[in-house]
Amino acid sequence: MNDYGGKGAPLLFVHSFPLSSKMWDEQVAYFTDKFRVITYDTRGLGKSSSNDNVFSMEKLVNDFFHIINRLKLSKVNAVGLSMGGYTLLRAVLKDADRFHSITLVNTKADKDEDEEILKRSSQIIKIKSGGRVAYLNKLIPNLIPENKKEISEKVKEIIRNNTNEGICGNLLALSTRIKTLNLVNKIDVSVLMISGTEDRINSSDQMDMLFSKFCDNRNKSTFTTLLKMTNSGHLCNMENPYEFNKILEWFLNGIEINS
Amino acid sequence: MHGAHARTQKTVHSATEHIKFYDMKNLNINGLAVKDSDNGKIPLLFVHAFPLSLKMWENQVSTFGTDYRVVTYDIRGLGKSSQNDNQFMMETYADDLINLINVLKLEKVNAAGLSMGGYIIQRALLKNPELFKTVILADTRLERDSNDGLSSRATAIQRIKTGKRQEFLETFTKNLVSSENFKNKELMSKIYSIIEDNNDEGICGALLALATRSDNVGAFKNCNMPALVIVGEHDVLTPIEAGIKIKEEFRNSEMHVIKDSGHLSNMENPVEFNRSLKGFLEKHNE
Repeated sequence: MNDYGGKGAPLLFVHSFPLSSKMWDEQVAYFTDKFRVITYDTRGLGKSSSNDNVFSMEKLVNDFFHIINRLKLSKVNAVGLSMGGYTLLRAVLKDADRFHSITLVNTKADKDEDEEILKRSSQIIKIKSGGRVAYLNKLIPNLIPENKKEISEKVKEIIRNNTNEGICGNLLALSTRIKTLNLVNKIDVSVLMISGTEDRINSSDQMDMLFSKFCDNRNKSTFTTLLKMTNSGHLCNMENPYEFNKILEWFLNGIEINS
Repeated sequence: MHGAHARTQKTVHSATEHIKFYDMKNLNINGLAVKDSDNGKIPLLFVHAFPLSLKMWENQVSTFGTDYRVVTYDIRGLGKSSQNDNQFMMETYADDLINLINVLKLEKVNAAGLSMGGYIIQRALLKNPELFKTVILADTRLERDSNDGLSSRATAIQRIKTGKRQEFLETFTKNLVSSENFKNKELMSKIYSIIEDNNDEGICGALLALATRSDNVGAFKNCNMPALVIVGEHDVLTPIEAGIKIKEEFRNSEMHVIKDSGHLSNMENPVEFNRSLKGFLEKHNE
């Protein structure tokens, strides 16, 4: 866990699979003098210990609460990308009072369909039987376009430090997600959704669908919006950090004023 | 005359001869602890439930182990099978079963699974239908875990890992058998002693595997495989309705509801369970 200790409201970033908190470097640099920025490595990845690497999605949600409790943060602004977004969606459903706002980036509220579960199990088998490199070579171009060499190298570097057990443990956890799509209309917290239109992991359509579900809540007193980043894929915060940071800053400033 | 008499004697003797676990051959297949009665007869395979081990089939081994080539094994992470890193999905379990059938050349096998064992057989049947002669699906279901199911698996893992294994098992075993059988000290101590052999890591690994099932509703609509569906009348984990759904999908199937029994029908009422299994096997293995 990294608490950059800036002044201002807490702003906590939850990273995606199979990366680590390092994917938020550009956000940390930009927001540290404006907010109290916090990032952490999720269980099994980065520098976080994972014990036996046998855990469910719910554990990642409990870890999130554990961290904000430890830091004695009564309310946070939280940003989650993909797997980080799954964590936040589930967390906000469990205890909305702990959130000032949530920012959901390239995520979805569905559980794994059968094909995805079977795909994950074949990936685990592949990784465990010496096929880690082949698996990652297939995955990484979907995370970041290959022509963006510099960022692609950084993504590879981040992933390189993760163990097979940690990656497999997270694959297992991902397949134990519950479906939150039909529950999100109960959420009364300010929501920013950022969708990379070129995302090849969680499609822009899924973000549209999630947004429309959020909008089903007619009594909602808080703000919800969906913004699309063109020419951006799954890791849009790394691909186009300037644009991403500006959008997030605009949103956070807006809700600060309203509260 | 004398010879004929002796033959009759011998037949009677072999029909009543019961074998025990220690009469069976012990094998290790890719880390799985396997027991095989290895008598050259028609193969009959048993796959156990969560969080038990092959020991739950003691009664079936003794009843069927002479007339059939009975094979049973500990699911990976449980019993005496290897734990590896305990990162299992249902698919791992299904692949283990398929591999075991291939290595022991059990094709075409009669395969009986209870609860989790039934999930494993369903998945293996979808992947390699040619390996099976019949399937016996006891106290199991087609559906994958619902949202609530997934959440309670997560809670169970959490409880076990925070030293509350006993608490989890106490609640869980209450649902394993009927409330009447829960008072049966002998039965319960047998169940507890089987569970005791399993460590926390293996149990959590199995919970995750259970949570990663795919949904089999509709998957067997065109399946001609002879299927016997068995459900304990008081089963609360996979109730009669869950059994009926399976029965409705397999067009070549029959369903037996076992009296005075909850989820662990083979242990709670072995007499009826075995009678039902025997009739089915005889019908499909002339």
